[in-house]
Amino acid sequence: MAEPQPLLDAPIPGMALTAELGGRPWQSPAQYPTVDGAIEYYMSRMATDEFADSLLEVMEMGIPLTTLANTIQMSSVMEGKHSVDVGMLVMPMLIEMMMLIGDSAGIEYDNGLTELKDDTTNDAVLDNIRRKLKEKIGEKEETPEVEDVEEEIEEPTGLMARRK
Amino acid sequence: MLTNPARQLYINMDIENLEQPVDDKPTGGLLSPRKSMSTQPTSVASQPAVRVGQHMLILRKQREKLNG
Repeated sequence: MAEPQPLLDAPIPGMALTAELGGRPWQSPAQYPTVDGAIEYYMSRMATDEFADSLLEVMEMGIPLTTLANTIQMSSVMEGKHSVDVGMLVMPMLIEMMMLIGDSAGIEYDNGLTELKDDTTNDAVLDNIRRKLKEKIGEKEETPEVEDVEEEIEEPTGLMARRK
Repeated sequence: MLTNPARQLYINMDIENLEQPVDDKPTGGLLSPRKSMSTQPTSVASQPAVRVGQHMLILRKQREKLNG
């Protein structure tokens, strides 16, 4: 029988009562309940120069477009613009739109669509290079020499000390 | 645990094989129904995912034009 594990990430009792019911934007009906409305909202927002400029800045930093799309839709859900399921449906279109903005600006970006396996390969390659470099330099792991230290035993000199 | 479903969602959008919306032509027979009896739209184009796919297709064509 499995032992019960402590739930460390569970909500604190009463956490749901810290705000009035319906006080949060996502607890009230969404502003754009349909996919069409949400698409229209995003298209009008993303077509502005301000958005494009800030997006290109972030894209040049190497942040994947999948991460950006997820962040954008999640913040819109939190603002009560649309529901989570509409956000999920709209997300591929957001990626496509950002790719179009990136391509039209002529910058290189990470679309985030490559598999995560590449990361593990990169780590393995890096480890291999590191090992080869170490061999080339000739670094050897030095084992610390342990000096034999003889402990000097002090003989008791008090009045009550034992006589030999 | 999958924290960002964006990659999966994008890959699963099969926009190359999207069904084109077909216009329903009214039949001319005497016994043909004058109006549709069902209130629910039966067209595939009314599906939200398909509508998103259609938008994506437009954007992708624009990208392909840019990239040559």
